[in-house]
Amino acid sequence: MNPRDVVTAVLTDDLTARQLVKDAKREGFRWSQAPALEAGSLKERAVYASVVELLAQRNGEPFPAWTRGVGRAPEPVYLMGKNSNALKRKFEASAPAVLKARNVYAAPEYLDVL
Amino acid sequence: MTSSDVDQTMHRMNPQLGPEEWSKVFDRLARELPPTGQRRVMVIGGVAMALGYKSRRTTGDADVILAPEIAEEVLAAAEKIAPEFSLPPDWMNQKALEANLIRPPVGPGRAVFETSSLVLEVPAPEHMLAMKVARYAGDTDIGDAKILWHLLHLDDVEEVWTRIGGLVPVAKQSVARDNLQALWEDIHEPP
Repeated sequence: MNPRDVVTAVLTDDLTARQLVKDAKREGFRWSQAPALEAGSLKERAVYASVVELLAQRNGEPFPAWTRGVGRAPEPVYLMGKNSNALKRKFEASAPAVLKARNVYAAPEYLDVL
Repeated sequence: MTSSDVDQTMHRMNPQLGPEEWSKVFDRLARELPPTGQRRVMVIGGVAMALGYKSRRTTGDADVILAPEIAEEVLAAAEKIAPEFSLPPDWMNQKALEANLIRPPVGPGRAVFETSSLVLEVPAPEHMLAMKVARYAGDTDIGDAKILWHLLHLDDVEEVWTRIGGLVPVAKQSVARDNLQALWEDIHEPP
């Protein structure tokens, strides 16, 4: 499935996540039309919704309507690996607002692929 | 875009390649180019890490820097061979350079692939590290930056910045300096 592929890649495999985003860009995929994650934990739903919003925002698109119903991750989620406290603090301070809003943290240019 | 289109787009994924696969791609590219002399191509990003630093697989893109006089010919040949490797037509591109995310290396790099028609070079570790810390787009960039830092055999963040700071585009200097400091702390304070 598709949203499952995205959330799994984002949580476990940075290169695959980048490849998915690059391919979506090449195909002219509209993140405002990304389907919802039908089943998943609160963490997975929060991560997926925040990443979809991030990518839609970068494209100048509205957020999909379904993201409004997705809440915060119960614990902080760091998308850029198992970082030290230094990098965690950095990402907590500088993460894009749509990620922070759901307790999800990464660098400002996370998945900003060319 | 229909839901079917959405589904297809999100299912289709271009390949990821490692050093051996990239060598095959570039070998084929070299054979596609007429034997009228060597074109020198600077590879950067993930492919430079794969070929020059034997570090990892990459996405199916090769970020390169091409001299204007060879760009059209090399990019056309790259596009022509793309289907043979299931690569996208623009798999070889200069997007990083065009986006002003990097400063082109001054002088030649280290050759990592050489035939009579094509030479691939990778930048020095200092230049690669400068590119990485200018922009953390994912965990892979942090991992690459750590590899490159260790290759410099320097422990002091100021010494490293002295070596790489001038290689970072002016607009990225502040971010790069912050990223370098955080990287130093990450290296010295593991999770």
